[in-house]
Parts: sequence; structure tokens; C-alpha cells
Amino acid sequence: MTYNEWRDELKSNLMSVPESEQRRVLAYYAEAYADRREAGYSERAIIAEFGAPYDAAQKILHEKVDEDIHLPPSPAEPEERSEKREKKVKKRRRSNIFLIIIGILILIPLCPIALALIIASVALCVAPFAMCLGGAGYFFSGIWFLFEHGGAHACMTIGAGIAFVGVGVILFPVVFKLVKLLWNLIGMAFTAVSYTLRGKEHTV
Amino acid sequence: MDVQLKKGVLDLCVLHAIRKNESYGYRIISDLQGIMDISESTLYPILKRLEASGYLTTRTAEHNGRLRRYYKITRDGLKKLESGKKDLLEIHSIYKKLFGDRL
Repeated sequence: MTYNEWRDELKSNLMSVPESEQRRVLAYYAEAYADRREAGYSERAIIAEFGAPYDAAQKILHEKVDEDIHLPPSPAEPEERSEKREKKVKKRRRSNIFLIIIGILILIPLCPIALALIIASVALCVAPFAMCLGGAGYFFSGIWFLFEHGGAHACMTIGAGIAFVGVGVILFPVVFKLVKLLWNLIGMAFTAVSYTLRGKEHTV
Repeated sequence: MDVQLKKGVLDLCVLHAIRKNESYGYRIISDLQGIMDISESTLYPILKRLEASGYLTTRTAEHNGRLRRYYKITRDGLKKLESGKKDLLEIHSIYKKLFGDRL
């Protein structure tokens, strides 16, 4: 996991926190990361030091000192307060389960769409190669035609071949950008769904 | 260590680390190494709690082209540190009376 991935996962676990606090936490960790890098730590060592993003988020949310210790309600706490807390936890669990179901329902149509986009991007990649090869084929067959039969038809074939090769060459960067955009879109869609699923999974 | 006790001790450790000069997150952790080993994840809520209680103030300054937050102890923080020190001495004295020099 890279630091950016760690940070994004921390952020997704802090969705219940006000935005100003989220910014402060992320700035805190960005500073801590930069300081440790300056001190010579590797990215991997720093992330190991920070611990799991979920656990870091829990400490921030609940001010835990040790990861494994949950502060029990004090014995003097009135029954109504602990009942209210239980109701809140049950409500949160119900909404989390609901969100997970929604997430899965979104994934079901998303997978074939993603597959179609992947196939389309592969086809797009083939197009410029096909144009160049086809154009070269046209060009050489035009040359052969010129020597064998001569005439305007041969010249047209040579010209068309050159044109196809030219278009194919122009298409390369265009197709590359388009395919990159498609893959980014697919990645973003899956990331959004996975954050929804993973972020809520922890609190169930 | 008991959670509440550990919280109190960690607060004192952090205040001790910034008692003479203002400091920053990683520096505080480094200074406390060997006394109480804490991570950034543990330190953040401590700093937040101490600031909310008025025991330290913060400021942001530029360092090597990025921003860094510095923490400085306040007068209330120094008083808290002093009273915390007395508490620890009292605990130490009680421990000695109970257990002597045995560990």
C-alpha cells in the first residue's frame, strides 16, 4: 500500500467526522509522513508505523489509547444512557447493511459495463495498428499495380495507402488518451463502490 | 496499564516534551522514545485534547516548502505538568511503601 492509498483509506473511514476535522487529520498525517521521510524512513516503514487506516481512524473517533481496549461504560452510568447508545449502534448497523446491499446492487450491472468498456478499449488500441498495416498493404499493392499495369488506379491505391498510414499514425496518441480515460473511469467507479462497501463494513 | 492512568501519563509525557521549547509531532514522538513509545495515531488525540483543555497552543509555520504545525505549552499546561509530577511522585511513594524496592 502506498501512502496515498493509506491516506485515502483513512479519509474514507473518517466520513462521519466534520470536514474541517478531516482536513486537520489529513494535514497532521501528511506532516508526519513528510517528517519521517526527511528522517530517512521508507514509505513502507512509515505506513507500518502509522498502522492500519481503520485503526488510526478509530483512535481519532474514540480517543483510544490502546487499539484493543474499548472503554466500558462507567458503572454509575444511568440505564437510559446506555440504552440510547445501544439504539444508536443498532440504527447505525441497519443503515450500514442497507448501504452494503446498495453497493452490491450497483456492482452487478457495473461489472458487465466495465467488461464492455475494457473490450472497447482493446478494440480501440487495435484500430491505429490496423490502419497503418492496411495502409502499408494498399501502398505496396499500389506500387506493384503501377509496375504491372500502370495508370491512375495504381496512383490512387498508392495515395490511399499513404493516407491510411498517416491517419493511423495520428490516431495513436488520440486512442492512447481515450483508452487512458476509459480505464480511469472504470477504476474510479470501482474505487467509489469499494470505499462504500469497505468503509461501512468496518462499522457493522 | 489502566487506560485512564495511561491517558493521564501520556498527557504528562507530551507536556514534558514541549515544556522548554515548542515542538512538532515527529519530534515529540522521537523525544519520548524509550520513555513511552507512542505512534502518530496515539499522539493526535492527545494533542487535540491538550489543546482543547488549554494546555498547549499551536501555530503553523513553513518548513522546507511545506507547512508544519508547532505545539507550545501554555501557563496552564505548565501548572498541569507540575501537578502531574506531584501525582507521579505520590504514586511512586505509595508504591515504595507497598512493595519496597521489589518489582
